Amino acid sequence: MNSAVVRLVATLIAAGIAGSVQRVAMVTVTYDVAVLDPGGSPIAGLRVEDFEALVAGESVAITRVSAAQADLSIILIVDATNSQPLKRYEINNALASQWLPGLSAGDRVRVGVLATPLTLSAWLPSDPRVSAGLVRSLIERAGPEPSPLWDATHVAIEALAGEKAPKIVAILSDGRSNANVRGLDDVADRALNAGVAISVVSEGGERLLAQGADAAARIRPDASLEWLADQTGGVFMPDGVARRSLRPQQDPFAYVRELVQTPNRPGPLLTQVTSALRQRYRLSFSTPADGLLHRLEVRVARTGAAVHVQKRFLAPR
Amino acid sequence: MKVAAAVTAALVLAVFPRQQVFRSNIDMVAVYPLVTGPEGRFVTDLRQQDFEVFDNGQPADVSIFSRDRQPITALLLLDMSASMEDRWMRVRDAAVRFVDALEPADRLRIGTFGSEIALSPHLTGDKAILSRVLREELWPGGSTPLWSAMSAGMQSIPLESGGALGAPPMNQGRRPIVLVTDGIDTSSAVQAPVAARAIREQFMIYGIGLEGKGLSTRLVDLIGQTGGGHFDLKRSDDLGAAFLRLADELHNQYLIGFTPLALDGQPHSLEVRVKREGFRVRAPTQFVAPVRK
Repeated sequence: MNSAVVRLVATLIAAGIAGSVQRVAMVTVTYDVAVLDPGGSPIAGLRVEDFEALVAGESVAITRVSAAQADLSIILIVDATNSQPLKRYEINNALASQWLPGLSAGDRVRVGVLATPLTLSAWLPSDPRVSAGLVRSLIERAGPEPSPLWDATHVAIEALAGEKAPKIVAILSDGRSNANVRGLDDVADRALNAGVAISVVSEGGERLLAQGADAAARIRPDASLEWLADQTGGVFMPDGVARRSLRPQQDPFAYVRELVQTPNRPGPLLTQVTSALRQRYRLSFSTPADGLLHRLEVRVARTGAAVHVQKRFLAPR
Repeated sequence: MKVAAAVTAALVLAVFPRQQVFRSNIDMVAVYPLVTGPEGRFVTDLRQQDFEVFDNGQPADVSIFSRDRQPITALLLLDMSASMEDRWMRVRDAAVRFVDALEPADRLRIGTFGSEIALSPHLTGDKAILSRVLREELWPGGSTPLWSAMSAGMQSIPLESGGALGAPPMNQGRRPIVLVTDGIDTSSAVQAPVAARAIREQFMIYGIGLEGKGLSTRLVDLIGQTGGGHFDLKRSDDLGAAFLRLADELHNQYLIGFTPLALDGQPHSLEVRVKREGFRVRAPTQFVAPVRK
C-alpha cells in the first residue's frame, strides 16, 4: 500500500508570500490504490487522466500511474475465539479449500491465530496442502478467549517489517475485540506509518438493542474493523448476511432458513480481498517535503467505483 | 471494609494522601472496616480506641490504625451476558462514572464476562485508558460465567503486582472486586474454590445486582464474609449513583492492623465492633491467619 518515498527533492518551487519568496522542496511519493466496482471486483484499464489526487483537500498533479506489484506479503489473522460466529471447521475449510490454493506463487504468507499473544506461523510453503495442514494445527490449538485483536494486528504489522512486496494484514474476525494493551487508534497509526494495508472479512453483524422503553443501542462489532480498513487503504468485506439480520434464539426456523439460502462465504471473500489488492494501481505525485501528516483522497472518474487508499500519509522531510 | 494484607515479616503500609508510613516487624492482618451512623452516612472521624477487634471471639490488639483515605486496587467485572443486553448502555455509562470517581493513587482493571471472559491488561489509574477500554471492549452476548470470571480476576491482580501466585501481595492496599450482574452464574465449572480463595487472599467482593434473578445466596454470603457490600437495584434506580456511592465507600474505610492470636494458617472468625450506640460496622467475618515464619 502506501509505499514510501521514491525520489528525493526533484524540484524546488518558488512561492511568493507577502512579498517574500519561500522555497519549498518537493518530493515524489507513491501509494497503491485499489479501485473496485460495486460488486467488489477490480476495475482494470484506468489511466492517469482517470484519477484525481487531493492532499489536504487540494488537488495535486499525478505524475504517473502504473500497475502495483502483484505479489504480496500477507499475514492473515484468524479469529477462532468464542465470540466468532464461524466455527473452526468452517475457517479451516475456507482456508484449505479456497484461500490458500488461490494464492500466487510469488506471495509470502503467514497465518496468525488470535490468542494472547498472537500465535503466528512461519512463512508458509508454496504447497497449499502442506500450508493447510500447518494452519489447521495452529487453529486447533487456539484457546477460546479473549480476543485482543488490536494487539494481534500490531504484532502482525511488526512481523511484516522488512518485507519487499506490498504489505497486507488480512483479518477474519467478527470484530469483538477485547483485552488489548493497545487501542484502535494506536494500531491505525502504526499501520499507516509502516505502510501496511489492513483488509477484513467480517461477520460482525449489526444489532439494535432496546435500552429501556425509549432508547436503543446500535451494536456493530465490525465497525472498527471497517474503519481500520478504510484508513489504511485496505478492503472490507462483510459476510454472514443471514446472521447479521437474525438471532437464532428469537426465531430459529427463520435463522436456519436464511443460513441455508445465504451461507457464509469466508473463503471466497478472502480470495476476493487478495485479488483486489493484487490488482491495484500505483500512483505517483509530488508533495511538499514538510514532514507533516496530510490527508489523502483519491477519486476516479467511474460511476459507482470505490477507491481504497490510505487516508493519511506522513510527508518525507 | 475489608481485609487487605496479611503480612509476614516487615509490614510497610503507605497511606495516602499524607504518605504516612506504618512499619511493623510482626505478623499482622489488615482489615478495612466501614462505619455508618444511624442515618446511613459514613462515619469517618472515629479514633483507634473506638474500635474493638475479636479474633475467634477473643479481643485482639490493634497496633495499626488510620482513618486517612486509602488507595484501592480494584477489579471491575461487568456482566455482558445476553440477559444484560437491554442494560448495555446503562452499565457502560455508569462504569464511566466509576472511573471518573477514582482518585490519583487508585488503580483499576476492567473485565467482562459473557461470550468470553476478558480482562484488560491494564491495571491503571489512567482514566483515558480505562475510558478507552469501556468505549471499545464491551460486547454483549453469551452466558454468565460469573465465578470463573471472578477467579480469573483474582489471578490477574497478584500477577500484575508482581506478587507470588496464591499469596496476598505486600502493600497491596485493598483489593475490591466489583461485580455488576443481573443474575446467577450459568456456566462456571466451580464456585467453592473461588470463594475460598477470595477469603484466603483477602479480596473484598462487592456486588451490584441489577433487576433479574438477583445476586445468588452464595455470592451474597461471600460478600458478607469478605467485608464487601452489595446493592440490589431496580430498573428505575440510578446505576451511576450506585457506583459513586461504592467509590465513596471504598475511599472512606478505616485501616486497622492487628496481630492474630494464633499464627496457625487456619481460618479464624473476625468481628470488628465500634463502642458507639447506633453505629454499624461492615468488616470481614473471616480471615486466614498467616503462618509464623
